Amino acid sequence: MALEEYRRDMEGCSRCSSCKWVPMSQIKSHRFAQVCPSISRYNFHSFAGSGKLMLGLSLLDGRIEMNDSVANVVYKCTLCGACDANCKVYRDDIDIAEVIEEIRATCVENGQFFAEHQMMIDDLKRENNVFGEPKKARGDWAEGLDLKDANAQKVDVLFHAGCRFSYDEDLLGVIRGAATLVRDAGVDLGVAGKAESCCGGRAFGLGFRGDGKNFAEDMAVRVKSSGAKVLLTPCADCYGAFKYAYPRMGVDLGVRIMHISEYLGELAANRKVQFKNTVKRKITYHDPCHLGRRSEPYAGPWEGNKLLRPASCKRDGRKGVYDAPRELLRSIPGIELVEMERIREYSWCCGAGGGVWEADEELSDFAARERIEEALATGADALATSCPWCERNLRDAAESLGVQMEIFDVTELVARSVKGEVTS
Amino acid sequence: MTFPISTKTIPEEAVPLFRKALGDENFSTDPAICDGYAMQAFHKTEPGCWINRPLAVTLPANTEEVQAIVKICNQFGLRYKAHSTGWGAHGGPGYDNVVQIDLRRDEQDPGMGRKKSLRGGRAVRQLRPDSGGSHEAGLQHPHPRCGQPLLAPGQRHLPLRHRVVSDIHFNQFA
Repeated sequence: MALEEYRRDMEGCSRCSSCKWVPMSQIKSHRFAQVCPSISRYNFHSFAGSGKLMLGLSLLDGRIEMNDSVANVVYKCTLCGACDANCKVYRDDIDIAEVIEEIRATCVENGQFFAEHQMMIDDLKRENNVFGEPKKARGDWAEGLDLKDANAQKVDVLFHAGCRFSYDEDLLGVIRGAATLVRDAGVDLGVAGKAESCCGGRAFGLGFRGDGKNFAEDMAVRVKSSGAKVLLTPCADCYGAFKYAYPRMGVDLGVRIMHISEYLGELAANRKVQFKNTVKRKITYHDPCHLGRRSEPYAGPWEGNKLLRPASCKRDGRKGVYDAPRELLRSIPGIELVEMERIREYSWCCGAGGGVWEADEELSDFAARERIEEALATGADALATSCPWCERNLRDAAESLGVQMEIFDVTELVARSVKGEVTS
Repeated sequence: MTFPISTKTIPEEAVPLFRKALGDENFSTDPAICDGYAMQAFHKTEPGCWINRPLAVTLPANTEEVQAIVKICNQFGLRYKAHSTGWGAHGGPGYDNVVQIDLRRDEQDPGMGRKKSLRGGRAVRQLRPDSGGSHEAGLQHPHPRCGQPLLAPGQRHLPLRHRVVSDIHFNQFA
């Protein structure tokens, strides 16, 4: 859809500022009442969801030109969708996140985006990953795990690691532990190894629609040739892309898409994963945006009055994956789960998404520090999440803040309990 | 259709003064920033949803910075208007040659002399006892006949319980 097709959304903004705040009924304190990292950091209204609607409308009406100022506003946004979810508490007829995506696509059409993003797209095209790491090393994380090669054999479950898990050495233990858990549960699991490539979600989010679609179609071919019935990923970013960006790009994978937290939950329910050992931790859980509100399936464009949309066609953030990781954590003996103030669809973004981690380190760090402070306020001694991007960014923020807050992936804690590591 | 965009520009000599008083990142004349304050909600028909674009937007953090803005505006004969966001753009520039004072930053500083800060996440009804003078204080411009804020034909007021005070600030004049 072109930006013009969202004119009604943009004109309909009532400037109520709900896009900046957690809904009234959910606010626990003023300290943690804000929900948008972008407006919280930069303060000008244009950086809020509402402001970006006005930015788009101003572009359409010819009041402003497409230039680096527009790119500066629209790319200093983590595309976390908090504005969209909070707007929809009050308004059913405005899709803020989609408008932001359309403005970004317009920016790309006009050559207005950050140099860092161009570098990332170049890396993607050259090495099939967002870091520019060698593509031949993509499957190295799985060495010695004895996983099936999905390029050569048919598998029931195709395990897609994602760029971050494939190349971040600090997270190597997490991804290996997650794959081992599933393998040991007797699942017919395979990986694509060095043939795996980026899901394309980041390219789509940045507005590089053509590149995003190329990667999505590549993914679809790989899934089909593997014969898999389930596409399993431990990366929330990839999961969000499969569930939302792919349908928007018109790519149907034709398989069940599951996040590792959902899959482990099913395995635990079938007693194929059993929690044996105690992990004594007071833990708080951070909802990754792309596993939560941004993973809601896209139900197609709606023509006409959006107020008439049925609930199934409305993306309000409530249909994301929120309970599966929490249930896993609660299942682990010894873990006390305490909640932060901003959770589920009203969660605060860690700051790693939307191209911000690559191009605006200050905003990324600001958002992550804010989340760490919120986690500390719960009295928890550790934070768990389900996304390698969140984990990386939150770890860095905790380190730079100099606080004693350990950051875990949920699967790490599951592995500790299942494999017999007793911690205290 | 013509859309009102300010016909004047901010005097070049005033820009460094604003920047010195507020810091670079709290002052902007960028149209992409200023248009965020120039849209009037609910007005779909002529003359459209745009009101005048402010000459500049300022983000003061405290009373002293507000005073500095007012002094600079007076020095150069500029109008100024304090408004953050809130329903509609009733507190927006509305006319030409205005410097917008967005009080969002000093929302985090409730100790501002005569200024009353309404913190985010409160219903208007919760604040009615001390916000009865909001119209008079310039929060919304009442319709001359019915006393209600201006709305487009066919628009109705939402129930009061749904109104959220978020970035709204207003001065309580002694």
